[in-house]
Amino acid sequence: MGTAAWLDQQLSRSGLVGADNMLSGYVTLTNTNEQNYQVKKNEGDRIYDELDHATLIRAVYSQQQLYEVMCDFWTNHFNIWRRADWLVHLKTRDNESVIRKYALGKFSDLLMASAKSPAMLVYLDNYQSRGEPGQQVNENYGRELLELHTLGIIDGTHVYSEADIVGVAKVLSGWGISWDAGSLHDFRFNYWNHNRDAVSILGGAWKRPARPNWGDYNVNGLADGESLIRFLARHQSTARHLATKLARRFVSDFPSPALVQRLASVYLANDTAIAPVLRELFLSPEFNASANQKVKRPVDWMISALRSTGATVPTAASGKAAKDLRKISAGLGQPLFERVSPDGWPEAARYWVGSDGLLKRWEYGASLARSTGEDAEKVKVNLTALLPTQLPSSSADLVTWLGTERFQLPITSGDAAAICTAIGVTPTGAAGQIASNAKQLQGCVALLLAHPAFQRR
Amino acid sequence: MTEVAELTEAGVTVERTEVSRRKFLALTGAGGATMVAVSALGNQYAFATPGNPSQGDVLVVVFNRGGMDGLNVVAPYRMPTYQSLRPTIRVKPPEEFSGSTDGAGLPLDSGGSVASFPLSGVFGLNPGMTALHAGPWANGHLAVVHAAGMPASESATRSHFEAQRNWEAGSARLNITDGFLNRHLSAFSDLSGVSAVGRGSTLQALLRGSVPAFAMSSIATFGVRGFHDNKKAATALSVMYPDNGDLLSSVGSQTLSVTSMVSGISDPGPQNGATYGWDGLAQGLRETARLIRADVGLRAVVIDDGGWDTHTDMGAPADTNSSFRRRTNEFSNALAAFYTDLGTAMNEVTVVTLSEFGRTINENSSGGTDHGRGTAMFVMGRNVNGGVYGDFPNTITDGPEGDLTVANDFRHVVSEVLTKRMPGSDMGQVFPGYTQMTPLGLVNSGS
Repeated sequence: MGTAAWLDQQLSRSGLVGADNMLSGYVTLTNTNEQNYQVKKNEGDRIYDELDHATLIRAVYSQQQLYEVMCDFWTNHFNIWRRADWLVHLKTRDNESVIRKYALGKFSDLLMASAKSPAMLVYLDNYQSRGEPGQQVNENYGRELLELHTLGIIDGTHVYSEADIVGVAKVLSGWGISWDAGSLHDFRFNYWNHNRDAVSILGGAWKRPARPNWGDYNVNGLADGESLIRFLARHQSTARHLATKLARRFVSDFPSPALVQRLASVYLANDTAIAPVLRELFLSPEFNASANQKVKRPVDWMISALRSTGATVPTAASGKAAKDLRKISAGLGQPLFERVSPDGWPEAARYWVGSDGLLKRWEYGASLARSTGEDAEKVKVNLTALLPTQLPSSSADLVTWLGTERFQLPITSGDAAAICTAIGVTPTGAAGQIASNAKQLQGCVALLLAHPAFQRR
Repeated sequence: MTEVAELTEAGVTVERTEVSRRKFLALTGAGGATMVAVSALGNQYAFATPGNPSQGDVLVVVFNRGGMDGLNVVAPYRMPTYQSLRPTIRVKPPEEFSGSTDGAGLPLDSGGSVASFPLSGVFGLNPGMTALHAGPWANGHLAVVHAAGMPASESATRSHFEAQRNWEAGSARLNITDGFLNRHLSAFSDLSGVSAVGRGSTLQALLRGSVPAFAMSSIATFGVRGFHDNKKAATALSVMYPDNGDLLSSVGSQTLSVTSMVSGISDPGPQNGATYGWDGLAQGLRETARLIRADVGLRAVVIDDGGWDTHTDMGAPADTNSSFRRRTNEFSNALAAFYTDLGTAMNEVTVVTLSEFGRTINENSSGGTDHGRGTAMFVMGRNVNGGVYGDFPNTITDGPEGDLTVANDFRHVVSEVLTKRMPGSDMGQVFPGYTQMTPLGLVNSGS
């Protein structure tokens, strides 16, 4: 299958099996917020466990790889730290009904869903914002909506002012959550908290009149906010901001302005649809030339290690494998759903590559290679399945073959010799020294997972 | 970390100096070999600097992430505008209490061993900060600078991410991409071993730059681990990770050159009766004290302290369970434990706290405060002259943007600490574009 055909299949997801059939019993993924509130009270960590492990199982086993990658991208773009208070149960609904629902849809719809997502409303305090006369709105969501979710700050400049932030916060005041049984913690427009001032955004590019009367702000308050969200999604600064982030994620830490411009144009020309932008991106010469440019992000590294070793990951959400992988992803430095601040984990390698994370990769790679499955509840790898049917003549040749064929690494003769020495075999000796000895094979795979080229993609 | 030139988002090429890095490599033999010799010293428990006082202090920077509400940490508790704009969350002065003054602000007055200072009596610490008040402050080893920040002439941003970038770069200029602390260290030719540590799994921007700096989440796990033979694995890894200027490869190489030194450190436990909490700041400071005692070449440490983005429900400071009071309590306990633990070694250790901005003067309708400008900074050490320094507005008002105006450039504070306690760098390089001002007198020179 050619690249374009593969890409179109990934974008349409047609005929590609997801991994949700492996998630039987993960009821919290489909529960309402109210139901999950009860689960949180009664079953402790179950919500965390199911969300985390579902995310990893989907990433490792789903055939819809691009979709899963984009779910991760938007999770980071609309980052929510799920530790605080109610976010424990609200983030799951956000994941399933906002991020996963619209990951390959229209950004305008995704943004609207996020703006009404109880998890986001709680995380960035908008549910507490009070705009009625005599009260002062909470600016937290308004600021991050402009800075992080839409218009952005590019090269230190932004098109909005502090007054615009307050204006946005006023228009979105009253966007809160329900306290009623039957819709507990779902989105609700609390019109009595809605600010009634006239608001003008970006020098009048978007504006609304004052809404002083009950019959007016009750009826128009919500529609004003929806109109503002749609306006922001279609703004050219939003287009450029998203294009920059996508190009930085998939092509280079320093994407070319020309590529960014092309992606932004495609975004605007397609009324904020995400798939055409990705098509332009992945078929671009810049993407084609980007192999080995990017350092894999920590969780991406973990998933690629699991996939390339053909690991078996038990699906029990609260089982040992799930707990081990959560610990590993925490140790690597960018654990799922645990970024505290709303900007999401940083993308460019210079912001996060460091000693500690690298030591942890080496350690966890070594531990994965030693996961021989004595404990059926843990991750298991079968390393002999990675061996070629016909062994090459020497140990060094086998190391090179494994590195090249199984892990797509450029293994130099120096690398191969160093690996042989480290695992106590003679480079020129028979390949059986490694192939027939579990310990040597484990050591070899461990060092291949630690190879600098395996840290890149 | 080592790009000679890098493209910004705008596609502008920025030239970077490589001189200090080359200097470092020459000293270390451009690889891991000479580090093995250094690691032989790793088990000594002598304090790092007495043998070579010319090195200057170990600098510990605590970054209060999220925008610390300086007005409720160091409260101008008798100012009428403070009182009226923060009706429910304000720190109250002792005279508002009848009987026990538990829950009142802790006065920052002259007296005891604390010398007189211009802002005496204006401020009280949050009542959660008894440990810092009874220890370092009472001993005259704690200095406070309020209304600190980046001057509006350079940047008045209220974005966490921009403001943190500006503080850590030491400048709002976008073409400055490394951290001011790394630039300061790059002036020293005698760095070796683990000279700079960023606590955590990723390195803080303050420490990014030409001098190798190590992200470390804990001493115990900082090593090549998990292989059948870790030592042999480390040897193979040093072949695969040459120090070749590539970010990933160089980080690998530099890390491998110091892991054996760090893994040799044992733990004598906190000294002088110090007790640390289990929060991240306390544990970071506890391990910093261990690294200082272990003589691994440490010169600078950065520790993040999160949880200061208090938009809601700060609570009344008199309530011991209120969220902001608990936050200040944890912060104060951690710094005070570190001070106690190191004892007289604090003659050669200076702690500085930074935060990207302060918060609005008036509380919002959710019982919290939103992003503002000026905040409070602390400097702690036995060569600190205790007191409150710098300018503070005579009246604070809910200005056009609801801010405490920045009255003190944070670089005024940091540059004095660097030039007196770790002399040797050129402040023009450390803080490009910043014009030096007369030192405030926060710290003494020498030991």
